[in-house]
Amino acid sequence: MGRKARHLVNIVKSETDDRRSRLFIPAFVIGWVIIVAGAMTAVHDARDAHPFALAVHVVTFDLGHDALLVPTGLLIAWIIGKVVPEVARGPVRAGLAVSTMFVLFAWPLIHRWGRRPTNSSTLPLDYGRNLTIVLVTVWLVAGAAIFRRWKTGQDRRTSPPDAPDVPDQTDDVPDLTDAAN
Amino acid sequence: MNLPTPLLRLSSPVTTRVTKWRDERLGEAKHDDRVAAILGLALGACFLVCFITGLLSHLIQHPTSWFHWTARPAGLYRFTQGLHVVTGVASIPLLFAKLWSVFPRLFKWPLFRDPLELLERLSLLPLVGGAIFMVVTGVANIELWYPWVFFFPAGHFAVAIVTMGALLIHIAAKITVTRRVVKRVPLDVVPVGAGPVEAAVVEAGPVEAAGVGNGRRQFIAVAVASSAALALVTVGQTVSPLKNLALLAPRHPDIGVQGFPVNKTALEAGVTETSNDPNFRLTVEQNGIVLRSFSIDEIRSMNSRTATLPIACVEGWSANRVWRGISMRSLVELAGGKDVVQVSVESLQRGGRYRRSIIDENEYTDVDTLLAFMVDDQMLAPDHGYPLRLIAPNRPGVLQTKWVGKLVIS
Repeated sequence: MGRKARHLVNIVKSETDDRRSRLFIPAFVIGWVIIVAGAMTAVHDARDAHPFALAVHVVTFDLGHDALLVPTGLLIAWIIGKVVPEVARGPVRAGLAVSTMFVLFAWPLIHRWGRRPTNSSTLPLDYGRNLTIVLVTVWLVAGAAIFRRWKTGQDRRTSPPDAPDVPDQTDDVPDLTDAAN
Repeated sequence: MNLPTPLLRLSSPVTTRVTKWRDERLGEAKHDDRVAAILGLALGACFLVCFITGLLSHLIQHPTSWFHWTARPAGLYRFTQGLHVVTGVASIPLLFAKLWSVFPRLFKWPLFRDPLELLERLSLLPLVGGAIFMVVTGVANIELWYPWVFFFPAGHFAVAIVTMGALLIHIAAKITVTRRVVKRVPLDVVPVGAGPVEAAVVEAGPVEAAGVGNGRRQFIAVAVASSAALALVTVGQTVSPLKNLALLAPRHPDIGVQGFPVNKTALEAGVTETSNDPNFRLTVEQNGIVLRSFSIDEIRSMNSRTATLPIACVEGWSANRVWRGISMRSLVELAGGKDVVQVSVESLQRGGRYRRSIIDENEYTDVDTLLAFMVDDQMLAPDHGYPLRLIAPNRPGVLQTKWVGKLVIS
């Protein structure tokens, strides 16, 4: 499906599906009551919960995602779009996103920020080596996907001219660039 | 009640360009309604499981008058807390894929049509910020890293409630579109009095739809596969058969003193001297009166029993071990305790949030609620609670009090 047609589809969806269900108002009221209850829980337990610090964290994560991580992801996706051949674009973006997620997850483990010197059972593994194993696996899968796409493209080019049409999927590649941010 | 039309039509060159950029992004498969809906359903399921299991753990640790936890099955808490951590970890790729998928919708113009939509959009702040907060602090907690001032369980619990409230609003706001795209209701039956845009879409036809469907599937497949992979490399800390795959697990069920992990060592608890005191005696009190005290040799010479019970940490690791000790009920009855409603089990630790835990009537009457002095046929190591530790079925590890020095009956 061409980009323009898909664009039209989504515009229509956006404009026709924002109708509110009958459940909206009750759920809306209950939802806000629960939000206030959560905030009051933090205030009530202020000595432990530090409600102001919690609020700062929540807002920081929100802004950090919207103002930093997503633009960074968009930039990286754009760069990949410029420098990586089309056949590899989707798998490279996906591989990069998944790798970023694993690296961020493992970063505190590798640096042993939670390790307690007197407790040998805390963070006991060789996380640097293990992360390498995981990343190699991720990029082997990405490489296999690139090969498969390249092979499919080759087969399509060598197929007889009266072969049935296959929808063009080149611009439908997955783009998870910041999925791990 | 809609905003006045002139306000709805307000625009500027900037909003026009942003809207154009947004519309172009919405034309891509990964930003499609169906992708957002399917990822939303998967993420919602993970968050719901996480919330229920987390709430359960909170209630077990903070007993109320209306909630009574059961002592059986012995491994139920191990399962629920393992599930809590696994679903939390698995939700990370789903969350960020979902946020990536819906990001262009943030730039809707006008920002809202009526006050309800304004409040609905405001609820995205606690929803997005809260969801990221939950996964980031949850991961840091299992990795034993605490770069913040609040007490983790208190902060995690309060923000979980806020996030679930915001999630409820979001579900209510999106249920119409989710139903339609999940059930694949054709677009051409949706708009009444369809205009030229709708007509163009209906003309696009099924072949083009197959292309966008392929793009959606790839995007969702990568998100789900990442989620499964992240779960797989961590779940071995609680599911023993998968322990060799636990490459990024913060704990390993077989690594630690006496072959399993330790949360707080004797040194960290400041009990290295008191727990090794040759004059150690376990005292049993009721109504402010010491009923009796026992030396460790007296306890070891009593009729002990063996039980295979899990030690299940709130941080997600767990391990089954064979414990030997005295049934708490036998010991209390031997000391002359009567009309027992609950027993407060106190540690030799001088301070700490978990120096004392409560055994309620359900647990007290269970024969496998032990004051253990051996594990896996070895005398307990100081880090595991020497000379005596509480081990009872179906309890969080943090409530399995170590270095027990006193029982207070009430």
